[in-house]
Amino acid sequence: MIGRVFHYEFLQAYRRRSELVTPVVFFVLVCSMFPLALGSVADLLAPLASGVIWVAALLATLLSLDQMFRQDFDDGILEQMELSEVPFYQLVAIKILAHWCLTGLPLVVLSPLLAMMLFMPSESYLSLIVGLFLGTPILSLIGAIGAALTVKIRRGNVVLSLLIMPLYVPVLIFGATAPVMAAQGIMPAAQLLWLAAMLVLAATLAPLAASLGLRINIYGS
Amino acid sequence: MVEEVSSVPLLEAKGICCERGDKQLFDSFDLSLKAGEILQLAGPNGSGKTTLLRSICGIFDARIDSLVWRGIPVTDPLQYADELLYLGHRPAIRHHLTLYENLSWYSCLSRCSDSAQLDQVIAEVGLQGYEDELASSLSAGQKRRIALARLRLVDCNLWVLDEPFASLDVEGVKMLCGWIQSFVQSGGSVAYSTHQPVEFSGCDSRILNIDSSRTLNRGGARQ
Repeated sequence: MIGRVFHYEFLQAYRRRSELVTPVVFFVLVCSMFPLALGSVADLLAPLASGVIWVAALLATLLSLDQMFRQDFDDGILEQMELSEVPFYQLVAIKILAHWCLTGLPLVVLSPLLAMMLFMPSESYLSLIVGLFLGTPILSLIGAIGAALTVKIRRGNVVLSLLIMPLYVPVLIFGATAPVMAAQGIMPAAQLLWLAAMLVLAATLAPLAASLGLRINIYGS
Repeated sequence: MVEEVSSVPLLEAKGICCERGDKQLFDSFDLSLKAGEILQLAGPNGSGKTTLLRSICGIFDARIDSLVWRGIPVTDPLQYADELLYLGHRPAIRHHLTLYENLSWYSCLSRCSDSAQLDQVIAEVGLQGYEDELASSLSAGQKRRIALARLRLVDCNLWVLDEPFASLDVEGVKMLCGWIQSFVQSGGSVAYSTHQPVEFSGCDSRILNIDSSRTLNRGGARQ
């Protein structure tokens, strides 16, 4: 049953892909601007590559957050979910997963191409991909809390950014340093394990927090 | 079984207090509903019909002193959410899913999916031939019919309907009235709000005028 709910959630998000493509295009554009601005010099770009990719991924996720619950809230779908027999936080978790599949996962898939463009050393690729694979779901999960709290605010993007950015910082630090460590020949196990631990924490608590945030807004409307 | 419980009200809410914005809508307002009863909420726009319906469903931040379902106190309104079906004035349609997908999604939520039943329900609401149309391309009345199809999908004891007749055509109103009648005859109860004059023959129906009843409450407080 949960699988079918995910199927419809995914289908709905997929059919609105014009909105979802924006963050992915943004991600690619930002990363491709750096070689143009700084010159296509390997020595200059290589040390920046992981930082640039991570910051771009973070901002791209931020762009997509505002739409995570807005439409469903306005259409009264969330209140039906709240009243349904499936626990609300599970449905919220499914929504976040569907959102990540269409906004976070493409970033992970595209990241090696962009890394190549930014002359990232080949030893760093794996840690970049694994890092993004662990990190982008955290961004979606934490972002969902902010999106849930600001679902009633029109143009809530600025508030959302202010709310969420501080929570993104640890993810950014661990994620961006892992490829740098790998380039120096050090296994970045600590960074990746930290990301994995943060993912477990976020996956456990963020759906609960987001569902409580949504509930406050449903009850007050 | 219906006779057994008919002496006890199906739902009894006492001391409902809620406010919207700065306006106090209800102050210790009581509401009770027997099994097999139709309760129509009437009152001008902004009088709090929607708020009251949402409050008894547990999706509005209202303070209720005691909420009793079939004689048993409910501590958390969501606890009894399985017993009731709420249709808001927003039809809760997923615009990017087709008609069939919408109903299938909803039946997943209420854990009662059966594809044969879905086809039958679609025929019942008169939307045959539109199964694969995206909901966004349907008219307002057709969307309302999708929302109403839920009444046929889910088994429960109380229907809470907020403006269910909005944007329905004459045939649709007749269809919904028929459903409500057969539902209460089988022991269910209905609380709904509408501005349309609707008659239910042979049913236990009651009109609650919210504005006047609240004025009464307030008058009492002033004295």
